[in-house]
Amino acid sequence: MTLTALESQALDALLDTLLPGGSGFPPASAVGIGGWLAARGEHAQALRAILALLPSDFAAFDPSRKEALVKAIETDHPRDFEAFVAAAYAGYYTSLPVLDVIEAATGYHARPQPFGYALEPFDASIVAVPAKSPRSWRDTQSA
Amino acid sequence: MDDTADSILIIGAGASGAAAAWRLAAAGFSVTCLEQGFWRDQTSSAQRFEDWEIVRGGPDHWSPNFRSNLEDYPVNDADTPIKPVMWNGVGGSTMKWGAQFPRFRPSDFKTRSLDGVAEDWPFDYFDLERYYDINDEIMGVSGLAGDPGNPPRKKRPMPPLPLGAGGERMAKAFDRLGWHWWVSDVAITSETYRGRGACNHCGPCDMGCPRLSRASADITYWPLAIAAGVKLITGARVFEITTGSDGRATGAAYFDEGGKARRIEAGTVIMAANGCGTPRLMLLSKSGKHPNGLANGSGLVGKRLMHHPTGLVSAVFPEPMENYAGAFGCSLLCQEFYETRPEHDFVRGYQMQLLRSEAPLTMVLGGYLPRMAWGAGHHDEFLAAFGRTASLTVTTEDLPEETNYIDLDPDLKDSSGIPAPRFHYKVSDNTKRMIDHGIARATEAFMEAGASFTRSQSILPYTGFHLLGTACMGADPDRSVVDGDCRAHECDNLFIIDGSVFVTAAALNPTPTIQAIALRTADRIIAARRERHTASASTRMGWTAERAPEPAQ
Repeated sequence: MTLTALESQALDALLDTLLPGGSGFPPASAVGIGGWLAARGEHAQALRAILALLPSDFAAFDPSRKEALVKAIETDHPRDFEAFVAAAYAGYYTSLPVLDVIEAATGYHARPQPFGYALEPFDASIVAVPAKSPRSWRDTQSA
Repeated sequence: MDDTADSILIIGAGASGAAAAWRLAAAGFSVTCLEQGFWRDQTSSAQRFEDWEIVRGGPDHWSPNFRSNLEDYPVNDADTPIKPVMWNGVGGSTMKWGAQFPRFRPSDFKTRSLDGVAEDWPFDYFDLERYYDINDEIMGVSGLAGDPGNPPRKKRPMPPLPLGAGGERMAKAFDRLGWHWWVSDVAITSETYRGRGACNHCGPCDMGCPRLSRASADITYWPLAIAAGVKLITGARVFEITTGSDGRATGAAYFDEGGKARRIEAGTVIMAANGCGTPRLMLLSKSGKHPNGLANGSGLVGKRLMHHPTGLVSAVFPEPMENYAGAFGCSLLCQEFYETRPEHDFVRGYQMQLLRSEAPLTMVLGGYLPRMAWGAGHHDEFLAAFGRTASLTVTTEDLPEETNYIDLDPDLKDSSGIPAPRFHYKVSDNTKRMIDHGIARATEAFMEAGASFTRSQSILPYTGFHLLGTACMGADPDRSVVDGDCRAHECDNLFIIDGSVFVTAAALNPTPTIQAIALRTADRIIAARRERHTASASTRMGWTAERAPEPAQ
């Protein structure tokens, strides 16, 4: 999907309203989520629907006005909005810069394989209490 | 294929078809298996890439309606709150499972005798015990014997997987509450096992396992079955089980990988196409002797559909736990409320299975927790939750009702023009009360464990993994489809070995029990053949007085 310059600006502004960055995370526009969405056909419908609801000068709105408009879209057009949010989150949370932030903050690997994670081996002392429980299965051999 | 009594045709290459194929071929039968899907190379699974969560939500979704691969068939799930999920290919739905691997408990086979509901099975836990043992060895189970909540069993082939921080936290909470829990038996390797690598705790087992640590039928039974001489034909979409003028099964008609219609003949036909695929095919196979569908004189084919209606409680903990590490569905289970108790307002019971944290995109989209809010607080909310969550399923026992059923959709068809299955299902009041009870208990457990937030969901929609009861077992041909040996009452050379035959559902993941029944059925077929004492040119090894070989150690 090809976007005009104004549409790209509005889209970036919208994405940055949803995912503004902070706490070490980049804003969505900084990791190219707009371009990612435009390049993927499966998100074209969600993208067109949401762009149709944005005024062309959305990028120039102050933050509170942007937020108010986005909330109104969320209320008045829930299906289109949820589809767009899901698409935006998908692009953001599978982008390597964002995953790098997550890894630095939490240890989570962007690619679960091939390295996986090291976990402490099972310690049988954890079952000390349940191992002493009385039998709780019903014997059916006489039923 | 030889048209003799010793040629066996199996429909479906999943958990049960694979087990039976191996057992029968190893005993000398000539076995062919038709599978509409294909082999999948797990070493190239998507979790080697950063967009694997997108793949999981799209082309590798649990539901065939989302995947829409050529080998999938659509399912009309409009009339059920629990959406069926399955996977078509070599290995069947074990290619998408989490590999939690419990055995049923003895009471699960005696619900009528013990609790006055449903019916008793024609056999019990102790009849299946040796088959559970065989299956545990072949699939490769990690776990810990000694659970007082279940009958004694042999030392597990491998020690348990690590519980992780979340598991240990919940274990201690259950101890303080005085509720019984135990380490799960899981079909995931905790150490190198028969050429398969040890699990490295990456998390998303349902995406396939590049290390082959998580068991699936393609990497466990199928190599053995093929070595024993089974012929596995993939891309073979069966559209009818053929029968003769006497009503006996004669084989199957199918579309091959190129779309050409073919017929294959066999002396014995075994249905292993899961609790949806099997009744669908039987209903498609009408004939003069089977006017209501194959072996459906009782009218019960497709009926008594049972799921495991599942509620969920998810919790956020204040401390980091890295709880995304580890097999997503496998650590421990609590069976404190498993058996019927007079003080409950429901009959039978449920298990609570502990789940790990979700991956980032899955979490923010709203899986266990609500969809994460956008805006200024989004990133802090993410960091406050990610890796700090755990969930407990409330997996309930569904009781059979004829008003829950699968039939053939009059309009929806698969890509070959074959009518699709249509589900009709309602959650019973008994189940709803059970889920309410379980949600309250799971919430209590999380609060005991120190959770700062909990969220409950009553019926999870995409949890129709366990498709049970739709060609049930029993002694009375008017009230069942197959007998205690899984032989169809009305077609003596037709067997059904998947979850369709379940009399009741228990409140536990059914695959080990499905496979044990498949192995037992195979042994029944072998025993019946041995009793005939006749030579046969079609057997690969010839007949001896020996039992079918035990798996090599």
